[in-house]
Amino acid sequence: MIRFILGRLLSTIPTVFFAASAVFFCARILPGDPAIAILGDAASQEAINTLREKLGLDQPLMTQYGHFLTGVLRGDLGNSMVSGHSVVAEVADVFPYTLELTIFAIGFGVLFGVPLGIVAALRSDRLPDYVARVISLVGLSCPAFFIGICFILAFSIYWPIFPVIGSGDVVGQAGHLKALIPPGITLGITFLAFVARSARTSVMEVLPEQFVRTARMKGIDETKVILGHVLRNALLPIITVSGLYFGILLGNAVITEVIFTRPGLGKLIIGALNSRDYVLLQGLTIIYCVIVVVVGLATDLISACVDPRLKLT
Amino acid sequence: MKYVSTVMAAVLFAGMQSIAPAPAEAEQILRVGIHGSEAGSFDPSMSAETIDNILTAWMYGGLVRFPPGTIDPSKIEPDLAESWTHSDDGLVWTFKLRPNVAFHHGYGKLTAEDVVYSLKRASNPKTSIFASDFAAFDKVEAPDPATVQITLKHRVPSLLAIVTAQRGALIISKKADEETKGEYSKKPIGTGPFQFEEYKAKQFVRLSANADYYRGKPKIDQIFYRYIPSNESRDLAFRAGELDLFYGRKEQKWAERMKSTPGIIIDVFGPGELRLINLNESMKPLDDIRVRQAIAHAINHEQFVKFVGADVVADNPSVVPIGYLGYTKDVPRFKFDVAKAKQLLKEAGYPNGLTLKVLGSNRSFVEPYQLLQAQLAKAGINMDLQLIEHPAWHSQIRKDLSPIVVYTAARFPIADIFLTQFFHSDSAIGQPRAVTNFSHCKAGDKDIDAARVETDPEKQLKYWHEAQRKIIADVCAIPLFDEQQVWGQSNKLDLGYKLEASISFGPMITEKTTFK
Repeated sequence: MIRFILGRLLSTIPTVFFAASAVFFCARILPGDPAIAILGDAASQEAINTLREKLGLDQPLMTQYGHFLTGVLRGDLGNSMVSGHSVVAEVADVFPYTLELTIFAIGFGVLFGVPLGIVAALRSDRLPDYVARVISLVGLSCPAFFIGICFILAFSIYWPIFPVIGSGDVVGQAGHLKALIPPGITLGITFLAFVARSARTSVMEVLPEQFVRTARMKGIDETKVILGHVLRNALLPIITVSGLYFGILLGNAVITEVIFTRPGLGKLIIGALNSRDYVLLQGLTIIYCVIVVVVGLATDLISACVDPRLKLT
Repeated sequence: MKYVSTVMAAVLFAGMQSIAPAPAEAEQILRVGIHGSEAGSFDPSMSAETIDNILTAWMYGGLVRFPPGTIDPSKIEPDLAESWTHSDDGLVWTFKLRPNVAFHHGYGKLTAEDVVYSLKRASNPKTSIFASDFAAFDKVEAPDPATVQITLKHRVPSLLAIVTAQRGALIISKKADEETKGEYSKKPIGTGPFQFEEYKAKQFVRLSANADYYRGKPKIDQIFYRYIPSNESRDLAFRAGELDLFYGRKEQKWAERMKSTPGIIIDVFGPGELRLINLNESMKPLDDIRVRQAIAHAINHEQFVKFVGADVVADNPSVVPIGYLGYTKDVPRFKFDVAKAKQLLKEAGYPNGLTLKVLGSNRSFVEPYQLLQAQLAKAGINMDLQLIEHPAWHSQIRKDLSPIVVYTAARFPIADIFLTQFFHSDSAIGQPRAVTNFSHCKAGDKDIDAARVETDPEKQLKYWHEAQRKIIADVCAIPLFDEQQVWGQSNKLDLGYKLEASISFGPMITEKTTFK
């Protein structure tokens, strides 16, 4: 088991290396100058050149690349060009916000998506199924910024239940949770749609199996049949899909964080892109890579726990 | 979906209302929403970004200042200095400091040494991005703790303008700067009505009232300055009552839509940012003045003002924003005349019209570009527009990659600065001291130079006026209009002065600002 985990983690090194290198070069190929972004448009060429020197941007590309790689090897992701703070500190500042948001969204998606999928499968091609399919379709086809604005209009303006500004600095735990709900649901709705669809499909696949018929014939309570026999066997694809979906979730978090004015990794990466903060961009790419790999690993481990037939090799 | 969300919200969190935080205390808290996503620098010498400048204007003072609500250089009044004199040749200026001015958070009394330190720091390119503003400074000295003496290398259009409270001219605490060893931004200590309390990264800055402020204790107790980059979110947060003052949008549509929001006042104020169509004289085919004139004749100004919105822009025939010291509207104007434009193109050797490949920013002016395209097309000029990402555009236009650069800007309200940066040949792209002369204009050089050292204010004005006329006659740039600053505020908020303009581009929050 430990060998499996270590092996998987080691195999991520080339992935991270290629992703970080790609971002390093792509960011520099993009026209745009961090010095202008930092100094503003009234800055003279002189001031821009001085800052470029200070940031090391006047050095040859390969020298910069060398510095970057040696930094990464030493575990040093460098300092943000704009704020001057270390990338790790910048990320540590906002990571909890993104973490709680994504966890909320996943929780929301699973909690409502799985039952919705099961109901749809059990009543397939009848009203509950149609309703579930419409919800899935809407969830999958509406972009997060649209759902977010609708949510604000409905629950902050029309029925003023939730705050518009969703950052986590409000007073007390209750306020904190309350500010988390709108962005959490916005982000979670697409995930819910995903989960509901895959739950419906895999439950429908399991339903005609012989062991289900046997369980029913034995006179086991229908709820137990569904939860104990059908769902347990249908769970595997749901977990896999959820793991794969995590990357998309991180992407949607970018938009959700901007609309609800929350700090987070997404807002950080947008800011870094706009100000051409190469160092922060590189660091964030590495961190995103690691997150996606770790989530993939966690997905495999959970699958193994759920299905003892799977072997971790 | 709505139904599902409602049910879920209700099921999940029923009863949440009852444990919501208690209503606001008697304390006056001002909640401001700004369009950036994070603070740049709280060091007044290190940021030219509006979102930072608005904040530093509340935290620091300068030797002199514009009275709140105006940016008229003829009304500059005492701030940290209570009086000043200058030598007959205008080269030595002596400022007497106001006694008993205290720095924030117990950093002691302001002395001449702090002023000398701040101004020297602001003139050093290593510690200031505004060093060039102070290029004329020879010496800054403190003959005694209450006196500051500035000696100039040569005469300048206005010394008071250079030391007016804004950006690099804001006075910081020497002690605080030395303590933080160059990371001043972490501990910004000024003398203004509000003092820095905390910055929660990418969320907000919290300021508190400076009880020892020399004009009296501010009525507002705390300010939350929130970074809300999404336009829609700021509008909605105001509608939900979570903001009292916020950055609006420079669009007629926005102003009209927001007017219906209960409790809102829309503030439209200066300085206007002049929208210029810069024509690059160093490139073909715009090196031919007839082609530039043809473009000028093809533009219908009235249609532009109407399109962008009469409430948020002001028609401006000149190449300096309205109201600047040295501004004149007595300049030649190219009449809208498509036939004339075609005729000029024909004379220049383009009887079938021509195509110009133009780069535009995807962040500003996007819709008006289409109008420009349509107007030029009528005269046979095909503007092949490529909209690119804003930071990319900023760097491409600084490499002469677009023959037409549509740019908007405001500078300190003295004609010299605007004319120098946009139209003096020293500031042309590619020059060592390049700034934003995208047109490679040189028509106004002599007059701009002469005005800079002229001692007679009347003559100085004449030089500036002449420079504007020559630049327009040479069609270095076609002025479109001035875009005003547009903010929204609660009708319960009383700024305490009439807001006509603000040098920081955002409303000043003073000791008198309060809630009604």
